[in-house]
Amino acid sequence: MKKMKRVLAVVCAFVLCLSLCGCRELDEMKANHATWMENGYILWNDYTYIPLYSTDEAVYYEYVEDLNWDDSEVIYVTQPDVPVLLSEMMGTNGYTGAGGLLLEVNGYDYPPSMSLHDTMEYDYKNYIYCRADMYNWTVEALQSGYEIQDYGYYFYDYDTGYVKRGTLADAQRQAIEDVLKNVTPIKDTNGDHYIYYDQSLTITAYSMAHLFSQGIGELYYNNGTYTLEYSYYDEEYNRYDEFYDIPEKYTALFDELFDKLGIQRNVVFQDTSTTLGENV
Amino acid sequence: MVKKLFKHELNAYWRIMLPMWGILLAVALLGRIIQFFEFDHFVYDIVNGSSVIFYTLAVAVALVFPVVFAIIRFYKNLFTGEGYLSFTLPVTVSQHVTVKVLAAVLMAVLSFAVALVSLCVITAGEVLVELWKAGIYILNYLHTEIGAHLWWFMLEAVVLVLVVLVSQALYYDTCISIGQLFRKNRVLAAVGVHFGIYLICQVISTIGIIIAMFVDWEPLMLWVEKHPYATIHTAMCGFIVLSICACVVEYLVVYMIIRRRLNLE
Repeated sequence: MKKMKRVLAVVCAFVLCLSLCGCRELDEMKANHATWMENGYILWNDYTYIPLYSTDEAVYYEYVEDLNWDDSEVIYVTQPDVPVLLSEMMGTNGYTGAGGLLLEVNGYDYPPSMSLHDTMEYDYKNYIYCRADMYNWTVEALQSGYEIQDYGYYFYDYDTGYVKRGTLADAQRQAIEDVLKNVTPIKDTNGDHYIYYDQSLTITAYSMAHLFSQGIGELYYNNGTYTLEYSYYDEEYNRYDEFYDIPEKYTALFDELFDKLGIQRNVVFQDTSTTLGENV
Repeated sequence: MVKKLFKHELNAYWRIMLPMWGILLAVALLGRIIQFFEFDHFVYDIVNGSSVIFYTLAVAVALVFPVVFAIIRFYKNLFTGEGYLSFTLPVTVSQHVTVKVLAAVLMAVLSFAVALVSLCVITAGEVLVELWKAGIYILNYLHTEIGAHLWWFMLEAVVLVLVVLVSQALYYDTCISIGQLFRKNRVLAAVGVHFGIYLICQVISTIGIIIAMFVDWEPLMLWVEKHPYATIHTAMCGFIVLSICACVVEYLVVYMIIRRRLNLE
């Protein structure tokens, strides 16, 4: 009997030790689990997130809409009583932006009475939330502090499913600035300018120590030449696109970038001009 | 005597099943211990992945083995040389069959219970707590959605599973019993009987489907739309009744063959 008790005690101690050890997948799920609060706010990682309301429309349209959301890690927002293991099944998914200062929550299971913005044309909504304790600072930073400090790139590799991001080299940055300054663009005001391309790469602009990154355009490669599409909004939030043909002297610089990202420039698609042509 | 027979039957099972359950629990424990060391290294990923695969295999074996062992025991005890001893015991044929079936069902249920315990072992700690929370949440959610029907559905499901287990055990016994009517290759004949019954069932169900194509289902579908829960209750009870009917037929076949056409090796 004594022996049995000892064995039982050892087993219990061992089970207790097991309970002290967590699970990596569970920890990740917990880290990506946010909950709705009673007032429609979101609680995530002990921070409260409040919506960016329509009073900040300027902020929203000019900066937030084109932010590059970190889609490598999805968060799930659920009601507070939903266990973490069911968060993916029963939650609304979303992405983080600006180093966790902003959340983009989308889907259909959003809290009622939200006067937020439609960012897509479908019956599907994206809501932008901002960390409550940094709300004013973020809005101010987005409104006034959005000065381009650096240029980066963003490329979605369809073969691997991975997103590649990074900062442009100084020479590449200078080339872009030079092109924007000295090359006369083709302005497209009504969206009827066609461009044919083999490959493309999103060019992003970084500000505030890389905290905010905003897609500002696309770099298209077509048959040995590059074209930069630069997009911006006017004061009435109308979007404009400008197309800059990149001079030959910079071609090698961007070849280098495409090679670095493993983008095959010389792939001959069977129907290049029709399927890859895009109405911009 | 029936009690003794049942005890003897269980003893035979324990000799095989206890080590098997022990292995299952050990594999689960090993898997849990491996989770202690969460290295970011491909070797760890391989070891961890392998432990999960081994665990899954162990669960599958633990669930399938009682069925296989029940078939072997039924055949050996009643239709081979051991049958001379078995049928000298002061128990009736129906008692023999009942004991075999009850032991098989009990082992299947116990194996399932041990598999659940092993799941608790491999997830011991935070994951188990979260699994438990998720289970309770789903139950509460379903209860909110469908009310008291949930408990009835669960009760019907448990009864259905038990009846199906009995029916399955009797089905294999039926195949073996019919197979032993042959003079040679009796095991092979039993397998043939199994495929024969399967083929007959397929033909009957195909004919049923063809007939069903000419039936006007609209009134029934309207009724189903109006009474979804009653439909599920009716279906569950229908399956239970069908399974019981199958049990009766299988039992009678086994009983009659052993009683009248027993042909020991």
